[in-house]
Amino acid sequence: MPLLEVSELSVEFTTNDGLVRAVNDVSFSVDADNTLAIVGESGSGKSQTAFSILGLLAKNGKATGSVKFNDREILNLSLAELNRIRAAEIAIIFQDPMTSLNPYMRVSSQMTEVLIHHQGMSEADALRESVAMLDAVKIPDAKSRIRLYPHEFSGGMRQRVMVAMSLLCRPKLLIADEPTTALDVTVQAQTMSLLREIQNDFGMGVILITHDLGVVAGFCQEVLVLYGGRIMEQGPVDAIFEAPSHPYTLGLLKAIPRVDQLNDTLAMIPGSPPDMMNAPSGCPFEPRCQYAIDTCKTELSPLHSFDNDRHRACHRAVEELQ
Amino acid sequence: MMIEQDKIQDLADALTATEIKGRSPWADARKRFINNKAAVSGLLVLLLVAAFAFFGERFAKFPNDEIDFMVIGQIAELGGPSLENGHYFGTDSLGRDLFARVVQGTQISLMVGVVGAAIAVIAGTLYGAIAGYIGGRIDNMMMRLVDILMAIPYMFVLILLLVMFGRSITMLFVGIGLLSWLEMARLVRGQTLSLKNREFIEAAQATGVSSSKIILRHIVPNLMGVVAVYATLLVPLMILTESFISFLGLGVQEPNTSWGALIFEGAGTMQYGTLWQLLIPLLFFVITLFAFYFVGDGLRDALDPKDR
Amino acid sequence: MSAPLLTVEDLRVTFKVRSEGDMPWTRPKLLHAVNGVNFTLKQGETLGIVGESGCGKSTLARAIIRMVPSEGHVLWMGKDDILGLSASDMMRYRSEIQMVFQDPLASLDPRMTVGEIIAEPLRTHHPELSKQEVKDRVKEIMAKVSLLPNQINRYPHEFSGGQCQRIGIARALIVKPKLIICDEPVSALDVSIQAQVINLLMELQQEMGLSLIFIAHDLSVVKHISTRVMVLYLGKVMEIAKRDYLYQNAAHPYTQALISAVPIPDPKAERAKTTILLDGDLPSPLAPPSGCVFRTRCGKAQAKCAEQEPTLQTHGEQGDHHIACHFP
Repeated sequence: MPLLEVSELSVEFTTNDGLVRAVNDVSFSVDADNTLAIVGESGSGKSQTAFSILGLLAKNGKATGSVKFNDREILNLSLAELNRIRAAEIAIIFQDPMTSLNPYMRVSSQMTEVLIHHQGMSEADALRESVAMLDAVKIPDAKSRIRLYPHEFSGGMRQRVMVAMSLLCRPKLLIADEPTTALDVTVQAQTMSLLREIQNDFGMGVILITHDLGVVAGFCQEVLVLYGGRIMEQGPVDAIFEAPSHPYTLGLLKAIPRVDQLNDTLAMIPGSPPDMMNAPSGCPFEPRCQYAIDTCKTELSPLHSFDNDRHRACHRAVEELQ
Repeated sequence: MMIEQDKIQDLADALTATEIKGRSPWADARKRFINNKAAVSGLLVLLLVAAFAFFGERFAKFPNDEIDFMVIGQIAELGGPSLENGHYFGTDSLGRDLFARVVQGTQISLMVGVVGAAIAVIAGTLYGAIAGYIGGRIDNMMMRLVDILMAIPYMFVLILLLVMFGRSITMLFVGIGLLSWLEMARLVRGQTLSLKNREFIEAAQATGVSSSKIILRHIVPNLMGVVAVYATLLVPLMILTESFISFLGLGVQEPNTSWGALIFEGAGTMQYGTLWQLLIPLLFFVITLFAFYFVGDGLRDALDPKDR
Repeated sequence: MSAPLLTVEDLRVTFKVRSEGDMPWTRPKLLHAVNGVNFTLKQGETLGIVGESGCGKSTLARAIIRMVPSEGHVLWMGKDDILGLSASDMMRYRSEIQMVFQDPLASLDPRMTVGEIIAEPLRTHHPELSKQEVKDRVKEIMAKVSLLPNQINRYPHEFSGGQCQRIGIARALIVKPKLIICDEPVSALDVSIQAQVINLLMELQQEMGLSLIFIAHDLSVVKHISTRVMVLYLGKVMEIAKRDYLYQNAAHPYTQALISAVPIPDPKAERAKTTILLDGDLPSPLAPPSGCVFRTRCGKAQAKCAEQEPTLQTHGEQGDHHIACHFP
């Protein structure tokens, strides 16, 4: 039984300028001990997908579909129920640790608060546990550093504090929303290596949301590629990188410069990411796709499965691409 | 070569194609403002009041300083608002036509409000933008000067000025002008400080644009949103100040009058049953203030969102 | 051979910093953002400058165009020292050196039309041109960066991120500069758009004979566009070499760690890779380590590294390779 099972998730926002469908009919599952990457650019809906799992959508957002955690439906649960799941079962870390941590509270109070609230620990026990967790994420001199304020930590350290905080209740699933985008590349390497260790030690499932395909290649086992709120393709990481089956993935891989290779010109994808206010009918990638045919403008391709555990949403056959 | 020709033709076409009109941030704000019903009704009320001030005199049956001997002595019975005897708003306690007086009061009060706000906008914006942009010691000195001026109890100064130099409209403008630009200068300086660090200012500096051009071309237009909102909220403040002074009896001289003076008089004769003398100027006063607040709020909502 | 376009000698930028809680009479601390940087840039070359937070790369860029006060020498064509010029003499150079900024939308004045934004440098440096001439030049340059000239009256918020960056590039190009400094020009753009802007810059460079200084933290992007690459750490140059040479034969421990940390979009390559993880944290620029600034995180550090600061020295025969390390 998968840890998390998402079926036909759609997210709609009511704005002054009309209805915006940020996420359209997205389905995927995550097993315990597995890492799923949700990859996409602006307007792909990747962050909103993650937020809707934990009921973190803005007030004007509505999620429909089904999200089952350990076979229990958690989409649109009441706030009280959700609060029991948040942090304790499913934890989330965000991109900018500076805004996720309260700048006016010491790190110790912020961490003990989680334990006291969710596990009813005493102040002293909570503090001991928090220090232990900071040690686990390799913050030097955790015992004295825990009394510092967030701004007294460096960016990389703050992100580790976030990771530590998210692990306090030993959640079964960790959602990481662009956790290393704001970090330097060496700090990113340290953080991803830490996440790998933590995942092994704690046996968690991880959903990594990112636009960085390099990070995906080094960390994840399964990949979900989103564009314009829809799934373009999905599958194991090796297969997706070696034999991408969708024009978008293909184009993306060709357009990224690689530090271990040299190409003279980067192949570009013309045009820009879609404006979700005026969502196109038909395939959202069609305006930029070099393989597009007439049907692509009007009809959406359903998700076909192939090769055992891969899915793709494209009218053209795999052989026709390249 | 064919391909080259096509490209050149394309380029030529592109260069001469008709230019698309852009959707300026002001146009967006205007649209949002129009959708705000309270703000639009406020604007309408203001326009009506302004029309009243401009054209009201034509409709007045009597001049504003002529005493109507028909009603004198019996104000309470005969001085009420009526359509027959031409005193649409009734008369005041001396028998003068209240309609004409209210017209004049409206003219004076609106003028004070608008002129005061205008002085604040022009003087305050320039002062604040220059101080904020230059920064450092000069900014410090300029703002300390503002602080000192603000610390002086202005009512006191105003009253002193009026007592020393006599009551006149010019004095009133001077006094209100002296006060109104200070808060605006502070506000603008704060905004300039945050604007100064925006990348497009850096880009202009990197290109070599002179400081004065940067202030006038880049900083001031980007301040206009905040300034406009504050200015519309400043006008009622000016009117209130003037009204308060007139209420104290120190404002405009007879036979000139303002809302404050009229309210003062009306309040004084309440016990004689001539309530219209109080209520009518009070009504004008209140609805104008409300209208300015609604418009100010509407402006703030319209200018606030993504355009920052 | 003609003189190099830019010769930077011992460039230093120091900021005075006051922490909260300092008394007004305590001396402010000194932050050495750029701490003695030397390099040359030949005409037509692209120098990539890489480094992480606090390395001083953005400050370096601003020092070259005198937007921050600095010490040292920046020689133009081997003759004039830009840092020593008066403000009016500097105006001439401001049309020779232009800059493209990181945040595409923020670097454009939201209240001006695109045409006005692009025209500004032209109007500043060539006030003698008529309105029509200016307009023609603006439209010409818009076409060059693949923007439709009929969009000239639109406002920045009506364009996408990639298009805004093209507007910024058009603005930099309109005065026909010899050098364009690009400060993280693609970091804020979506991945699929980055390639468009990078390709555009490379095309324009070829066509117009531009020299570029390309500052970025993304080593893959820098690798693609640069002829030579310089690595900065805490305001000092660690290594500088011809592009291919640096990526294949990096000799400085920091460069090696940096390159190994870059994620490769290829799972097999990632698994085969050994990432060198650096110990510890970036030291505070207010109190840089003595001797070699990198020694606190270096696996090879020895006693000498704390005592003596390594100078930039030629390394090997090829690749125009210089390195500041005692034990490369």
